[in-house]
Amino acid sequence: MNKSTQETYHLAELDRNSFITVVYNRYGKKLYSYAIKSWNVNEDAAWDLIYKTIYKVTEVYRNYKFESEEKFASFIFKIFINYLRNHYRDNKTERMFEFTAMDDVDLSTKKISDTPESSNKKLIVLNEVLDKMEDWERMLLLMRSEGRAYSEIATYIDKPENQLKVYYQRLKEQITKKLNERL
Amino acid sequence: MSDYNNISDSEIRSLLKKRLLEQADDNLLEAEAKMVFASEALIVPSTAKEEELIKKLTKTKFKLTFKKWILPSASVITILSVLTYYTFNKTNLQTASTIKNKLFQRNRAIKNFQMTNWS
Repeated sequence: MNKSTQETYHLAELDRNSFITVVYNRYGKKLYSYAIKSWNVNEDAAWDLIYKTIYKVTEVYRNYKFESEEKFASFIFKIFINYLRNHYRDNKTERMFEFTAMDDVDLSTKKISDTPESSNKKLIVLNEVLDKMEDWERMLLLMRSEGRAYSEIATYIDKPENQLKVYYQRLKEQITKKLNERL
Repeated sequence: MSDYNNISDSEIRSLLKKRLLEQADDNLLEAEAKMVFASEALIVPSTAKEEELIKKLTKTKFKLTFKKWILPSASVITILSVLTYYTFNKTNLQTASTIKNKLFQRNRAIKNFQMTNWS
């Protein structure tokens, strides 16, 4: 098995430097893009996060056993999210997300303003709904809310592409219904 | 009724991100990881910065080795050396003191003997 297809967590047994390069190429690049695009992190902070993540992975991965590359990817992602959390904790003035929903909400009929209190209630409702969701439903909600096309989502979820829109609308209705009950 | 309090895609996304950061939801984390790593990076980082990062990461090998092996070994060696030095010194001092005492006693005995004989 060559390096390009071998599981990443096996590579370090061969050579530490290759391991670092492969981890960066397989995961670091994507995390860098993700940090900037999804979390509005500036470039320097994004590089710092990637450095810390890969450094930590290299340092501690031997203490763990991974069943698959997917588990290893989750492990890297978890470390990255921990550093991201610390980043926001240390830079409280930075805004990680905004509740400026202008795309598909008619503001003229919107009764609830997005005060921190209503956002918290929305989060509570979303948490309740998420807890009851199946994995594929969570994935659908996650990917669609990120703006991914249904054709792309269909490659990760074992459901017919033409049904995904219906499923997504149902999930949104479910959340909205819960919200209406609460607010 | 559904027109009221309708939740938008971006709001759902924001709430999911908030949950991701604030709560230890492994299922959400795994799903997010799958989504992030499955697609190609949308922003291409500069090659110079990439090289700088790799260099910085591979350079830390000595730091790691130093932290893991050299520093503990040096500490152990230093502690052992100090202990050996003091133990050895103490033994030497005790030996020297015993010899000194014996010599002193012998000298005194000789002196006493001489005094007795002369008198």
